[in-house]
Order: sequence, then structure tokens, then C-alpha cells
Amino acid sequence: MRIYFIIFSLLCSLISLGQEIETKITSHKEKDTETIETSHSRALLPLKYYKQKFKKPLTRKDSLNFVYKDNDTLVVIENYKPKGISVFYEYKDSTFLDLYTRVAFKFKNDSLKNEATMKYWKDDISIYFAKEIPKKSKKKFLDFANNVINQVDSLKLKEVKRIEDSNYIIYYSGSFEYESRMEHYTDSDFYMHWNGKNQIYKVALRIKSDDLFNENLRLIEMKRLFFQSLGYFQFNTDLDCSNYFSGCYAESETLSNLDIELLQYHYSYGICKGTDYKSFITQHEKAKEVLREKNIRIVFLHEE
Amino acid sequence: MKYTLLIILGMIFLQSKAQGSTNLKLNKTYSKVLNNESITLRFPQKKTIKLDSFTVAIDSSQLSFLKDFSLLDNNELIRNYKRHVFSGSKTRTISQFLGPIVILIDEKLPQEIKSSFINFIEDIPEIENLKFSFTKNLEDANYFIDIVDNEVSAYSKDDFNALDEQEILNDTFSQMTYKLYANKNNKFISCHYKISPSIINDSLFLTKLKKGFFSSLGGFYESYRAPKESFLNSKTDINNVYLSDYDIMVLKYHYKHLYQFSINSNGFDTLINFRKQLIN
Repeated sequence: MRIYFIIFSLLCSLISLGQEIETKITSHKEKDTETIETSHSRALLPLKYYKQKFKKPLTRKDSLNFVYKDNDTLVVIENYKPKGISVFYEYKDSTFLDLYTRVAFKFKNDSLKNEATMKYWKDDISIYFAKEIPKKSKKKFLDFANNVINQVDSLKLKEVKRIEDSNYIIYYSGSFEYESRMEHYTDSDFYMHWNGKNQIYKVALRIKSDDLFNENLRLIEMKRLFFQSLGYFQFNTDLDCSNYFSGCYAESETLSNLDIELLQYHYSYGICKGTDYKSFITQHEKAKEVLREKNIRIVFLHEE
Repeated sequence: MKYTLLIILGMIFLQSKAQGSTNLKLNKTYSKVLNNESITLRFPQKKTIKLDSFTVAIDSSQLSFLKDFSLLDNNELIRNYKRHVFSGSKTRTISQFLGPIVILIDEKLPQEIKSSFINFIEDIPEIENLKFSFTKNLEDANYFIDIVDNEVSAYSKDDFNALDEQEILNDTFSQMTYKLYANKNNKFISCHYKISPSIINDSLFLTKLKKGFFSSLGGFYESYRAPKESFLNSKTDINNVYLSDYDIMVLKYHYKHLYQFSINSNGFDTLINFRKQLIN
């Protein structure tokens, strides 16, 4: 059985351009799963995005159908079906969102807040351990890392034996320098690479083994940096120490329900991924407005 | 944002004042409230979904230690303590060791110095929340006194080169330094205390080592205003073999309570005011 309805959706790839579009989906499978499929849609694409994406000249019909909204020229496209998945908006209240944005969006000062972006892993994490890391430490680290990763459906972790198969290297200072840009770092740290969609695709984690003079200390720091590198996370010292996100590592190493909730939300596709802070807030406002006023959950289209 | 205040020990007034002030940020506990609100969807099928919400609770028992903190009533001690902990800075925070300090002393440290140093530590009277022990196993230690192979200093190369011979001789950290590893809750997890090999035979070395070690216990700052027998006095010509009463008092003050929240100088003043209100 098919039902016919018009719902709003937001195309996540446009968020980075600072522009939202509304796609009207006119039919939908009657299946209340978090991932939905569209069979027909009509999109309003900003002219700038249209030129960038399609690289073909506009027809006379296109020009005649232009829609003008908020000082922007929108091109109407019938049967627009971006490749990817569509997921219903995941509601979160303002208290949770306030906390989430403070751990997921890193910025130096408030004036840079709106431009701060959330970062996430899209691909599986393949860890290569440098040979100076003792087996015992590796095992303890992997126990912790797997426990964290297992909380998130879309995240996978494996250890690889060949460096060329890895996208995550863990090593100690004083041995081979895998990431020369960290050579002069005075503290343990990680060097992270991300693409234009703010998808993390490579990390080198370096432990300052002279300052952290035994394996117990190195392990605490390794776990701390790994946890942060799952989303370029910041610790929030307002939280009590039962939460790993409080930054009380070494006092508590188990994840609280709140830690898990924050992690899972970071990797939830019920909101656009890799967005800047301003877009993130705007999306929520829009999604909440539609939910409360029209009793409909916006669909987020995550393009491949 | 909703705040649910858990009232413990009848400290309602402390709680409200703490939140009203930006100086003191008590820890918050977030809890998910189930079935708080729901909405009936029209699409893809008529269905009611729950809109879970979160509440924030601030447990005022975080301040309950104040009722027994009579040391906070001593104005002179407060003034001295603040000098050693904040050193006039508005942003520096109180930092404390997390648990028992397990010390490993490098075998390269001359035996006589080592024995004197161990005696010095063992002479420290019992301090609440602060314990010392020694180990010979690096893996068990969280405090490593290390004679390193190269020359080290707490000063940068340029600053060290600018010191004259007398300044090098008088300064505790001209040829020693320490690196504290702390978490975001201002708790020290470990300390790596590094000593230049060239300083070991200096006549002031043992005194400097004691001074440096004591300073590391709270990231304390030395001061010329501290009593001359104190290891927190900036001068290095101290004849004291053991900690002075002043030093012990500072230590007791510092470790009386392991704070669960960050405290800077203004926050500390707020605590003092709360204490005053509590006892009056």
C-alpha cells in the first residue's frame, strides 16, 4: 500500500553552502523505518549550487521557472532524486542540544562559534599500532576503544598489521615519527585530517612517552585522545566526573548513559552531518517548527 | 534550560548563590526524562512518538565540605594560601593530586641525598587526601624523580642564558623542572620530576629538591613573603630539614577537600563567603 503526502526534506550537502532547500516528496512507502525512500521529488536548488553540481547550461524553461526566495534564485528540478539515504529528523530538546554543541563544536572564541564544524568518521577506523607499543597496552586500549565504538552502529574499528591498510596510527615519541607535523609538540596529541564534508579520514596519535613514563599513564592518554578523535570532541568540565565527557579521565573510564547518548547522537543521521554550528541550530529550529506545527518529521537527505 | 536542584544538607541558599555567580561552577548531572512529552505524527502513518527531554540537576552536596572547613575562617592563612596557589592570577585554578602519590627515585640519585629526601617525606604528618609511598617499579609509580641525561631547566633556553651565576644558584628550578600530567578536572595524575646531572653535587641541591617536590604537590608558587623557614620561601638558603608548620598548614589547607569542580581565585573567594554565611 502506498500513501501520498508532502513532506519537507533538507538536502544535507547544501548545508555547507549556507543554503537549505526544500524537496517535496509526493509519495512514500508506508514503512515507518528511520531510513525512507522517495519515489518522486521536486527540488528547489539554489542557482549557485545548480551550476556547481550539474555543470550544464540552464534551459529557457528553467529560467522561466525560477523561484525567488530570501534574495536567492532557486532552480526548479522535477524528479530530483539525489543518491544517498533519507532519515527522519531525530528530536532532541534544547538542554541536550546545548550540551551536545559544547562537546561537538570546537571554537577558540564566541565570534568563531557559528563557523565551527562538527567532524565525524564516515569510514571504518583501521588502527595500526607502532611496534614500540606493548601487547598488553594494545589489548587494554582495544578493550576500551571497542567498548566505545560498539555503542555506535555506524562506527567500526579493526586493528591492521600493515600501515598502508590503516587510517589511524598510534605511536610513541622517540621512535619513528609518523607525523612530522607533530615532531615538536610538547604534549601527547593527535593530528587529524578531514575532507570538505568534515569527514575524518586519517589520524595520527602520538604519545609523549618520556613525560608519561609508564604504560599505565600512556594508556590513560591514549584512551583520552582516541575518544576525542572520534569527533574532534571537547570535554565539558561542567559535567560530573561519572561522565567521560567531563574530562575526568583517570578518575572514571567507563561510559555513562549520557556519554553514550552524546556519542550516538553525534553519529545519528537524523540530522545533517559535518555542518557548521549555525546550520546545525537552524536545521533544528526548522525541524522542530515543522514537527510541532505540522506534526511531521523533516527528512534529512544524506547524499553519497 | 531546566534546572532541578537536589537539596541536600539544607544548603539551598548556597546552591542558588553558587549558580547566580559566574565565579563558581558546580558540576551538573544530566538525566533523561522519559515520556515527558509526545506528539502524534501525520506521516508516514499516524503514530505517537515521545519527545524525550533532559533535566539538569546540581547536587549542592558538592559544597557540604564547607561546614567542616574551619581553616577557611583564618584570614591570614587565606591570604598566604592564595599567594601560593593563584599567585595573583584570576585564571589559575586549584590543582590537586588524584590519589596516593607513589614515588620512584632514580637510582642515580646519591644514596645520602636519597635517604635525606625519603626522611623528609616520611616526616610529613598525616594529611587528609594526601598519602605518600615509595616503589622501585616504574610501572607502579605516578611520581618519578629522574636524573636525566641532559641539562634541564624550567626556564626557556633564552631565559636561562640571561640568568647570571648567582641567579642560577639561587633559583630552585634553574636546573630542575617537573611536568605534571593532569586531567580536565584539575587533578594531577602523575609528575615527572627532571633533574640536570650537573646539579647533583651542588650544596643546595637537596634543599632545592625538597622545595621543588613540595611545590609540585599543588603547583605551588614560591614567595619572598613566606616565612624564611618555609620551603615556599623564594630563597634557597633554608636551614630547615623538614617542612615548617607554615608549609604543613598550606598542605592541609590544599588537600582538606578534593574539589569536584574548578576553582579560580574568585571562586575561592565565593567559597569563603559561603562558609561565612554558613557559620553566622
